[in-house]
Amino acid sequence: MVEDDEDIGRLLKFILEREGYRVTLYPDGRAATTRLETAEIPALVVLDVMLPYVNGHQLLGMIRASDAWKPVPVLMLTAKSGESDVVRALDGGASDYLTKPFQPAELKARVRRLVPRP
Amino acid sequence: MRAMPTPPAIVVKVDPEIADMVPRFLANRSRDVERLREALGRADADAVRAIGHTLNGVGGGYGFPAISELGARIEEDGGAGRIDAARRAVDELADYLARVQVETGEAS
Repeated sequence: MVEDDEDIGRLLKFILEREGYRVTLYPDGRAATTRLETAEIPALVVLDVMLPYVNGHQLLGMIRASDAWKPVPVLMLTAKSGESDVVRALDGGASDYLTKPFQPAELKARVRRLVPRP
Repeated sequence: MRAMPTPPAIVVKVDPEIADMVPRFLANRSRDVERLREALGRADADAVRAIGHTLNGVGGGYGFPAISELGARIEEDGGAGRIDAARRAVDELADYLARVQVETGEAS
């Protein structure tokens, strides 16, 4: 998961861990790019659009350009007013999107669509 | 002279499972009010818009849709350079934070 806002990141992590998922949180796009090269492939990426250093669209492009990461589903977090971000994310290969402010139940439902509960 | 009546509390019920995270969340929103007032003081509309954007994104998930709504107004006013309107919304947010009282239970 890549989310720069401390409160949103903590809440997302809490909700998903409560559902039984193992979550690693990265606070910015640059930190997340190191994961692309070194770490195990996750079952799902949750990606904010507005991130410091490397934004969500750029990260999505890197994921879809990587042979190893290409099949990983990506759920994008977009602003409610960001229709252009939604279009760009879906055109860029995002699997789904969630607009902020989000309701925890909607987050869980969208994640379940992409990754069954463990 | 009569004392001014105390404004009524605004009671918000939050999911008991996230109740422990709420005090920190609200403290961060009070810090946002300070940052907004600093930004308004220097007429930095872009900073006002950015902080409003964060407020908009974060409120609803914690069960505080009013914070998201005020954040959306601040974001829009900041984006349009309407400093006075943004200031009014920030004052409303400060008033809300001063009056909000958290209870656990089925989210309101």
